[in-house]
Amino acid sequence: MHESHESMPESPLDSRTDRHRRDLSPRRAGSRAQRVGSLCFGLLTAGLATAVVFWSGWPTPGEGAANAAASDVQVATGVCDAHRLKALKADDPSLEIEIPAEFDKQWPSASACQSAVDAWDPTAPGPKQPIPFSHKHHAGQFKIECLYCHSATDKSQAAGVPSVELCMGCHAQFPTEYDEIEGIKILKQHWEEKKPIEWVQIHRLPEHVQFRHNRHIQAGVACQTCHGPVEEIDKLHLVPDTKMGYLVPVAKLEMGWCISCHRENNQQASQDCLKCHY
Amino acid sequence: MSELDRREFLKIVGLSAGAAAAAGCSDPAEKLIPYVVQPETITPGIAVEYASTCLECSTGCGLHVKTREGRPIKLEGNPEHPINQGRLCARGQASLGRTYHPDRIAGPATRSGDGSLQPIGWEDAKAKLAAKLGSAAGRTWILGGPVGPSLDGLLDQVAQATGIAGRLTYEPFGDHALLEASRQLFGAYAVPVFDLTGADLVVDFGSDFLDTGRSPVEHARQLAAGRDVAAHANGGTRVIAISPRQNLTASNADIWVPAKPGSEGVLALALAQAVAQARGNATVSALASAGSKAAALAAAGIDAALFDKVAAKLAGARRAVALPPGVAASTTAGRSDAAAVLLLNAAVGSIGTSVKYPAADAKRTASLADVKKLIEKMNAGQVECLLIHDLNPVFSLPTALGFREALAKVELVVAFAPLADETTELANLLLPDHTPMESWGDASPRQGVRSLVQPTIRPLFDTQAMGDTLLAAARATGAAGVASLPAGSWKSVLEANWSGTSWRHALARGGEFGEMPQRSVSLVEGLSGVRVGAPTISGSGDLTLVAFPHSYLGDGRGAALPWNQEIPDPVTKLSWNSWVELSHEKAAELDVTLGDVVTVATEAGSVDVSVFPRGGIPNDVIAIPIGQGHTVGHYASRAGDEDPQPGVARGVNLADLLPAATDEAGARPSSRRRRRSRRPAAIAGSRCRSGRTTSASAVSHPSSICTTSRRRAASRTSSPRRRRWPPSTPPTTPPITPPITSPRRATKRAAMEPPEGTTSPARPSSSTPATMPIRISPIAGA
Repeated sequence: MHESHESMPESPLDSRTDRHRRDLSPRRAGSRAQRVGSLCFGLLTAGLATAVVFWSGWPTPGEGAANAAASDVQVATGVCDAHRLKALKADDPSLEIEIPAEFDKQWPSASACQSAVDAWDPTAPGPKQPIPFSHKHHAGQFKIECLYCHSATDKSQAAGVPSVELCMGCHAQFPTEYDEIEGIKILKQHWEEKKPIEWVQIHRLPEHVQFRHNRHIQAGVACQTCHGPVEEIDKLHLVPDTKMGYLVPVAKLEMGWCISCHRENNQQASQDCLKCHY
Repeated sequence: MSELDRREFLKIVGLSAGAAAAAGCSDPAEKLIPYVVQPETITPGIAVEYASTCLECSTGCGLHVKTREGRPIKLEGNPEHPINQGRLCARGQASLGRTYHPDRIAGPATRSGDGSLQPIGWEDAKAKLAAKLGSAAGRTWILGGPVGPSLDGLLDQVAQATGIAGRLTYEPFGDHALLEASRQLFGAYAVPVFDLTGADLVVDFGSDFLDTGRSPVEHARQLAAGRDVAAHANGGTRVIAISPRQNLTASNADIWVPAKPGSEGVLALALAQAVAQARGNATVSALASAGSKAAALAAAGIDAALFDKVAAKLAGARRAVALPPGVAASTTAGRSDAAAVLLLNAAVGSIGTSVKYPAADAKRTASLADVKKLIEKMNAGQVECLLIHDLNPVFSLPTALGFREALAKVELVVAFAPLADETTELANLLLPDHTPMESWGDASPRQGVRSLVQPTIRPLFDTQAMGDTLLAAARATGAAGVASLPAGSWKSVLEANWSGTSWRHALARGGEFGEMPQRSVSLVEGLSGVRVGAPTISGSGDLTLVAFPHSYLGDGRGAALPWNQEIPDPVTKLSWNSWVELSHEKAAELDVTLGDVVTVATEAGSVDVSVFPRGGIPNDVIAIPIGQGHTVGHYASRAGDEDPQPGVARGVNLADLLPAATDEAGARPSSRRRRRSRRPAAIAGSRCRSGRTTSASAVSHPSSICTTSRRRAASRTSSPRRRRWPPSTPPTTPPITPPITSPRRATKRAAMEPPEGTTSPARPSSSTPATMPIRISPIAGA
């Protein structure tokens, strides 16, 4: 698996991100080290310490070509870049920036630009998705209901991932300026090519467990109970389990955790083995 | 430095640590791949069911196909369908596997001289077929299995429009004998429906109606209702099974009559006579005057008390049904056997009540004799192009007919099969059809019941419906008659055939289900008496071979499906192989035990097969299931085993043991004259012991079981497919592995081998009477 990654350049559509890759960022280093134990811990820390030092001066995504010597006049290369330069200027009035007229626009908004950057932030935990989609932007800032996109959740055992068509239902109405955002560009590419998006699954139960989303939604269980505060996260990820070093959604989605909730709600929730194992 | 480079670097830095860390801890990432455009009717996670029809055998049960996200995942019976009423047999369940099968032919292809396949485009493929149809239609034949009425009509139209020389529809397990007997007795060329509802006695003359009979799902349901103890104070329907081998029906019967193979007809006639006399039915009594108890007792080898018991039960029954012989009990006297059983039904007064004839005549299908004529034409070089669909003749026709050799003389062999089999291996133009799950079509299991086949998955491979292929090729020939062909596609032809009904309603329901219009039949005036000769078996041995259809493999078409292979035979509990059943006494006499490999030989050929000693089989009978012995196929042959052996057969093909004999009906199926034709001589030519065989194609012939050789032929022994899990658990089927060869056995074997020059024992005359005289001679060389 790793070999294939090495030999293959990573394209925006390349989603062959496995769980190992989530550990490659400095921020993830600690949790992975816990997980693999002390032997790997030392190795990892040493390597990553080097890496962090080595990278500190490097550009972060989104800065692109605008990154130049501080003394030069910085010229915006796009609307998103203009937003970024304006923010920098607000912090440091001495900065000289130049925003060409065609990039001096309100849309796409600064937060939209930022969400796409954050969703692909290599230093953030979680696998790289084929599209820099931010749950924080959609579900948090714009308060789109979970069930608007994951519409089968209250009907089907599978929550369902929205079709490209559903995404385009909104995004097709956006002005073309939005195409500057990487995520929208890739989305439209998928739509034009009629090619499905291969998302990397984050929350996963073992195959011997049958979980029915509709039952839980109908019983009033909040999505966040199992999936965590998705609306606050740009790049969806699992969190480290403190005891075992595993990556888990919010708590370890193991039987004990399920059962504890089922016990608390024993009027509604069954504790029959065959409810989930069949 | 570009972003890409930086990411690459990131990977490299992290790789060593990550790889070390992750060893075995985490699963590879799973993908969630949603629709681009989600169909309105589909919600991921929620199954959608479609009504369709099972095409696995010709019973025509209705299906509910459960699909998830556009993939059929489970088949159930259609509760509205009058035949199966919501039930489905194991073969029907397993038919799901055809669509996802590793043997699928991925697209049209031609076979080059060296035998390798070259993929071609559909346009080229159809042009190739059209060119041949245009230049040599008069030397082109269509040979196929039974298809639905719409496709059948279209094939006829295409054949007529292009001037194709002829079209044969051949069903290896067809009901020719019963059709001919019905015409003989009642003037009705139709297969009657045997309705067990309300019957208090069912007498099965070897059709094994609960397992491999004419309509097992329907009959099992009717019998279950009839035996419901809550509804019937006296216990309900009684079953008498007449069969040499204790099959599934006999195992469940109240009385098992272990009549000798081939004696079913004689027994039926004697019973008809006895019952007619007891009931005072003079007409039947006169017709069955040839039936004699003494002859029946001698033929069947049963004692008088048992005969009297069965006769008394039949005479006293309120409503009794007698089921004519099926595949396992068919003989060269098939028509007379079936006629005798129908006469017995007439004697008990069940014709018209439990034995119902449809108003319309059955469409004539080809008999084995017709196929033989085609093979003669092929051998004579009169067939330039042969189109083969829904049939695997290279496998299922008796090897002795020489179909394989004849096929080599045909310039263009076109196969439409969606799965690779023995026939597609020899075809030089493959035009793969969709599987039933991907197809449009229909079926008419009986008059008044029309059932639709609708696709439940988009075709997985580059396949095309045979109807479309033939229509396109026929149009491309530009022949004069092509203008008469229906316009549009195969689906529009189908819809046009259903124009009298609401298409959408029929699709939703699965078809159009009405009552069968019944015709009232009576015995033909001036009918001469039914005669069934004493069962005679040609050959020089003391064993009789009964070839019975495997519960799940049918005529062999089910062998490709792994579920059919894995599910144990209901009587022997064996799977993934063939076996020869013989009695414990016989096994002791031959000094063989479970798993020993013996050679069974008839004059047509010989096979090596593992022994399964059992009770419930007479000492002079051996039985081998039909269906295994494929040399092509991932599951059907040994090509897909853990130790792959491409081209090596799984089990044995009974076609190797069957001579090219036919019965009265098969000899002249289209003749209106009812004179008895000369039966082909069954030739005794066995090396050791021989007996009589019955076969799918109504054949009687000698067989023999040869010396038992305790060979350690691992590939041939029937230890089921190696199981991976749990490795230490014994397989569910009895492991049939041969014991190690001992010198004593070797000596024994040598002693039992026939000496040179004894391989052609006496043979019967070439002109045989109604039933074949079969000489039973001592073991040659023993």
